[in-house]
Amino acid sequence: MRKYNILIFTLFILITTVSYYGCEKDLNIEEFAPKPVDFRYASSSLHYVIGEEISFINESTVGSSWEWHFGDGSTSTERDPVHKYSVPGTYKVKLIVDGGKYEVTKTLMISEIVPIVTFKSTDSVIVYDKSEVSFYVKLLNPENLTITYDWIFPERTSGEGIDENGHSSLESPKVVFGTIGSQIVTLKIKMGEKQLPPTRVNVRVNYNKPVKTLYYTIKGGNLMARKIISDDIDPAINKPFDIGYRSGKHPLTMQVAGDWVYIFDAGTKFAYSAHPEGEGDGEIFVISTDGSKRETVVENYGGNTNLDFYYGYIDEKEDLIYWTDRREGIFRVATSTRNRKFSLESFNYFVRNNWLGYYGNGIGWGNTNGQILKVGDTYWWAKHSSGSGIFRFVESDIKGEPVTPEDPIPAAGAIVTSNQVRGLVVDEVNQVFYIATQENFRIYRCDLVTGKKLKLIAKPGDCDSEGGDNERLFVTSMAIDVDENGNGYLYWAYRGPENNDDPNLKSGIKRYKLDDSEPVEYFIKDVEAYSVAIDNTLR
Amino acid sequence: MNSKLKYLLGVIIGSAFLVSCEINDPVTDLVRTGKLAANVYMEIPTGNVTAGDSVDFHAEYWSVDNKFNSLAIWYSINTNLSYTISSGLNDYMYKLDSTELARELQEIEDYEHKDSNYSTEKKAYIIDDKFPVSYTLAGTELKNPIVYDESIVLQLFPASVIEQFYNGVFETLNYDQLNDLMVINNNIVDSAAFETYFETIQVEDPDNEGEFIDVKVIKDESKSDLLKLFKEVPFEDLIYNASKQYYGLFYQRIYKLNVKFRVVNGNDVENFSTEKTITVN
Repeated sequence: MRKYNILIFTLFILITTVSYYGCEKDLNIEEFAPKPVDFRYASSSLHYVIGEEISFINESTVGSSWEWHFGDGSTSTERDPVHKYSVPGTYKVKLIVDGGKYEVTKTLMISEIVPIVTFKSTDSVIVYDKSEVSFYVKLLNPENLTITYDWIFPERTSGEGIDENGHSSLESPKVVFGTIGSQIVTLKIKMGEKQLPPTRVNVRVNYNKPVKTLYYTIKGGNLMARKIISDDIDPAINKPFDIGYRSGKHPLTMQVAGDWVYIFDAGTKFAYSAHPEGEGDGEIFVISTDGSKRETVVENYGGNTNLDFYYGYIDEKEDLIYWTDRREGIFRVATSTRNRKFSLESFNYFVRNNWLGYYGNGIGWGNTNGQILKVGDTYWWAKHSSGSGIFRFVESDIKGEPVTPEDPIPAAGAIVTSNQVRGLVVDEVNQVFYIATQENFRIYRCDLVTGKKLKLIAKPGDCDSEGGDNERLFVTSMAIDVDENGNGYLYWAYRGPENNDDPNLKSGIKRYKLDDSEPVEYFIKDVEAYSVAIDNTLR
Repeated sequence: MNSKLKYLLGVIIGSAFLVSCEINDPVTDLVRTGKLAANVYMEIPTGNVTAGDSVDFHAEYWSVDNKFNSLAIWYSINTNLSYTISSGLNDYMYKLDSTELARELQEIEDYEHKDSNYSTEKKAYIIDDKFPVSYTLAGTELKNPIVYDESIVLQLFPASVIEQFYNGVFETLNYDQLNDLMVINNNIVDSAAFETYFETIQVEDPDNEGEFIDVKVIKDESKSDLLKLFKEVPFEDLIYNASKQYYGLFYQRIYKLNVKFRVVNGNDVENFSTEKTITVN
C-alpha cells in the first residue's frame, strides 16, 4: 500500500511538471497569409455578356509590376484593369507578376447578348380582332449603344406604329391580331452596328368564342391544330396553330381525351421487315391541348418494330388506352401510364389473333391490324391483309389462350370482310361508321347495325407511295365532328401521290359533310398529315 | 492520507492544469492555429433550375464571436459538353463528354445578418432566401436534325471532334462502302486509283466454316493516304441515317453551378458551406 502511495505521488509531480512546461508558451493565433499572387474578377451584372466591363481585382501581396493577358489577345499592365470582351467565349486570363516570377491563370466565360421577348394581354384568352397584346423586350445594353427595333408581325395585325408590311420600330408595341392561330412575331435588334440574332415568339390567338379544335400530325413536322368554326367568316382568318412539338415518325392514329392529345407513333418502319428485332422506335405520347407539355406514355426504342404502336383508342369511360401492334394483337393500359419501356415481359396482350373464335374463320396468323375502337361494350378490330374487315367481339369472347375449332365465333360478327380496313370511325348519332380501304383507296359510309356499305364517300384511287405496293397507308385515321342533330363533318388526312398535278389528288385535310349536301372539300390545303383528331371541348 | 482524498486531489490538480491549457495550449507546439471561423451549413431543395429563375436555399450559421461581416451565396460555373456523331452507314459512333470550368467561384448575392434570424431550436442563425441564375446560362441541344445545316454543325462541333469521327469511322468501313463514298457518289478518286489502295486477302467465311473467301482490305502502307482522301467525303454523307431519315448528331451544352454559402465572422475569417451542384436547364 505504501508503494502504491509513492507511485501516485510521483504521478502528481510528473503531471504537474509536464503541464507547467506545456503551458509555458502562450498560444499563437496566426493570420494565415493569402496566396502571394492571386486575382478575382467581377462584373456589374450577373450575366457577364459581351461589352460588359469586367473588373480584374489584383489580390497579390507581392510584386510591383503586372502583366495581364485577357485571353482575347488584349493585354494590360495596370494593377487592377477593367476589360471588355467583344466576342462570347471562354477565356483563360493570366496575371504575370514581376516579369514572370509569379503567375496565375483563371477561367472566364463571356455570354452573347440575347434579347428576351415577352408579351401579355389584359384578356385571359387572346382573341383575334379584339385582344390588345403588349410586347416587351429585356435586353442587356452594357455599353449604352443605340438600339433599333424591328418587330415583324403577321398579316392583318394592327396597332400603333405598324406599317403596311407588318413592321414596327417601337420598343414596346401594342397590337391586335387579325387572324386566329399561331402568330409568329419576330424581333430583329440592331445594337450599335451589330445585328443580334432574330428572336421569335409564338402567340396563340383564339376565335371570339370557344369552339372545337381539329388536331393533325404533319409528316416530318409538328403537331398542328385548327379551329372548327361554323360561323360565316373568311377562311383565311382561320389559320393553324403550331403546337410546338414534333408529330412523330408515323403517327397513324391520334385521339383527344380530356386535356391531352394522345398520339400513337408506329415508328420509322411500319411495313414488313425481314429483321424486325432492334428496329422498333415507336412511342405513344401525349401533348397537352394547350401545348404546354409533352409526356411519354410508353416507347419501344430498340425493340421489335412489329411491336410498335400502330393504331390506338382511348376509352375515356374506363380510363384505358388501347393499341394494336403490327399484326398480332391488342394491348391496354391505364391512361395514367407514363414513361414506360415496352417489352412483352412488362405488357400483356389484351387479345391476340388466335384468342378469338375468328382465328381460322376470318383472322389468320400475322394478319395486319387496322384501327381498334369500342362501340358500347363491343370492340371493333380492323384488319387489312389476307384476313380483312372488322372483327367485333366482347371481352368475354377473349379466350386468353389459343382457341380450338370448337370455340364459337363471337356473336357480334365480322363485317366488311371484303375490305382491307385502315381508318375507321363511328358516328353513333347517325348510326353509321366510315372505313378507309387499303385495297382500292376509298372511303365508305356503312350502316352501324348491319355493317353494309351505304355510300362511297371518296375514291381518290391513289395515294402517296409510303408502304409500297402491299402496305400502302392511304388513310389511317378519321375523325367525326357531329352535333346532336347529326350535322357535322367527317375529317381525314390525305397524302396524294408524289409528283402529280391532279387537283383532286393534292395532299391536305379533307372533309365530308355528314348530310351529304356538299361535295368533299379541303379543310386545309397543301399539308401532308397522317392522323387527325377532334377536341370536342369548346376552347 | 486517505486514498480517496488522494484521487480527489489528483483530479482537481489535473483539471486545473487542463483548464489552464484551454487558453495556453501545448498543442500549439505541434500545429499552427488560426482564428476561429463561423460554422456554416446549407441545403438546396432542388437539383435543377431554369435559366433566368431563382433558386431557393436554406442556410444555418453561427460563430463563437457572434459577429458576421458578410453572408453571401457564391458559385462557380462548369460547362458540360456532350458530343455524339453516329455513322449512317453502320453502328459506329464517336462520343465525347467533357466538363470544364467556365467561371471561377465568385460572389453572386449577399444577404444581411439579422439577430432575428436566430433559431433557438437550431441554436444557429437561419436564412431562407433565393439566389439568381442568369438567363444567359440556358442550355443548348441539337439532336438528330432532319435537315443538315453546315453552319450550325461547324459552330457546335469542334473540328477535332469531327476529325476523330472521320478517323474512327474510316476504320469500320469496308471496301464496298468506301467505294460508294469515294468513287461512285463523290468522285474523290477514280476507280483505278482507288483499287491501288487495296489488296485481296483470304479469310474464313463466317457463314461456312472451313471455307475461305476473298476480301479486299486496305494495304497497311496506303492507309494514311486513303484516310487523307476519305476526309474529302462530305460530313453529311457519313452521318445521314437513311432508314431513320435524320442526321446522326447529338450536341448538348449544359451549365452546372457549384454553390456554396460563405460566412465571414467578426474576425474577418471566412468559411464556406459544403458545395451543392445545381444543373441549369
